[in-house]
Amino acid sequence: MFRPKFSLMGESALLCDFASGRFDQKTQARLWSACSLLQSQDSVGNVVAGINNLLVSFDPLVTTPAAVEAAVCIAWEESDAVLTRGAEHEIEVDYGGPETDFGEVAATLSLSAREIVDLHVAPTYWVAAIGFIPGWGYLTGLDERLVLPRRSEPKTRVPSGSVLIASTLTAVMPLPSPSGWHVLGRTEQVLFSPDREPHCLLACGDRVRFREARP
Amino acid sequence: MTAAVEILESAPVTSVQDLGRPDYVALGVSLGGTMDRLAAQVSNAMVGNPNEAACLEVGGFPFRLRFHRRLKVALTGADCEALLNERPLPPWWTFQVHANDELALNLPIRGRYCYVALAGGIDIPPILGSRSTDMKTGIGGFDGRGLRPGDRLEVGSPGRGVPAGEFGVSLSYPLLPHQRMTRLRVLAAAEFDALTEDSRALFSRARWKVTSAFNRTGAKLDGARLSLIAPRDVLSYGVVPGLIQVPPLGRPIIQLAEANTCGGYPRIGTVIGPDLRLVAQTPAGGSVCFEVVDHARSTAALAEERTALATLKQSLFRATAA
Repeated sequence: MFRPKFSLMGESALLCDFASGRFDQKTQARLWSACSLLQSQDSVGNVVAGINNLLVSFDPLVTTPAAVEAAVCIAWEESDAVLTRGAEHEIEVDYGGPETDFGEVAATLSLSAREIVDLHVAPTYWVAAIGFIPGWGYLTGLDERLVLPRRSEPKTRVPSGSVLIASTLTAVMPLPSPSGWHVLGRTEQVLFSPDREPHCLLACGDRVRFREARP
Repeated sequence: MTAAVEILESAPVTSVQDLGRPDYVALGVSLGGTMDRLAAQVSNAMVGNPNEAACLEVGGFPFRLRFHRRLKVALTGADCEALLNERPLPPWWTFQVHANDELALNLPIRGRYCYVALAGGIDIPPILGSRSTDMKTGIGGFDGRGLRPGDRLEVGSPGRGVPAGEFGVSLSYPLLPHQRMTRLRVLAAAEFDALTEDSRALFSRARWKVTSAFNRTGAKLDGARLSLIAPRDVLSYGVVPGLIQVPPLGRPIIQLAEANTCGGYPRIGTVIGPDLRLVAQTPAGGSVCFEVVDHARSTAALAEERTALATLKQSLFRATAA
């Protein structure tokens, strides 16, 4: 039976790492399925799907890490990788500008402004996971040439609507927040509404395309 | 009819909080809720409130409010100079107030947050299952923000088991961190073994300072820099409050109640649940140190805390019945 890498995150949560190097789409789809199977179990609390990993909460006075590990392995075995095709979204972006890291990114990657925009709008991205802050979707499918590690120090405040990249992912900031990602541009699109359902614009399995705003 | 409570003086760090929003973590909504959960739960218990009742988390001083009705109130948390109409109140105390009484809380000599619970709980509509204020996003609580002078709050109907009389509580358990040094018990996390040998030793031996970059989301520490054997790009993962991350520049950050639900910096350790309140109660400039423990010890600590709280509630119940 396949065993992910397990580590504790405090006494009440277990981090289950299913990754082997780079992000894998099939693994992610299978994790959503494993996530649902686990959530239906009494011994397990919240399950948060990250990028090729799961964070499983439990009460250590009711069950043990070993028992939770076993439950995770079983859920993985029983899971089904169905690459659901969710909703499709097109997000209009104003690239560059004084509040962005566009210049820095261009310099670091030795790309022109035009090349960065073209590389960012070309793919159809896929929502791999929801998390971090309300309405944040981790989007996979970023062009290899735009891959950059996170900033060495996070920025204290990145404005709402910021379009970001880091590592092999891209995302849109739904609310102002600190972040270690690089800002490429801004959008007016609303991603999270606390007052109406569905609260999040994006869901796992949705597709996203970016479009350059006309000047 | 006038609202039960009127805020006279308050800083934006003071807000309405309860046990938070565990059911919305999957949408990226922070767990949130009270920073010193033990102090908050005891304050609720002292006025006969259920655990999930909303109370005031006071983080800025002086804080003053006026009551417009007869109410049972409890005050726990930091050791602040508390005055009810100029009469000093002992710490961790419950008392009766009448219309036009004023409560003033002054700068704590120890600790950072005080909790004010009112019998019946703060009565505001729950948003996403909770009355907690998510300060980052402006969701929930009183208008999604910290309290200001002029704000008026309603209080719900008290339960039947409100302990009568004026009295204090103590636990056979330290209520606040040690004055000189907050010792935090930590469980090693995913990237602990990826630290250099020197950094692993440093993690347990060093003294860290809580900087002014401290809020409900997290606490940035100052002190030695920790290094990984090799730089690592970690795939984003789910986060729990208490997680200690180390960004590339090497100084640790402790995630707190309003931690983002996912993160990507290397994970060194996690402060155990029962010690989160000690981080919350360490003032700016205070010192912390880490003690790496195993799961058995952390579970024992959790059991100890639950027992202390249960024992207290039982004795309060007996006080009500009497």
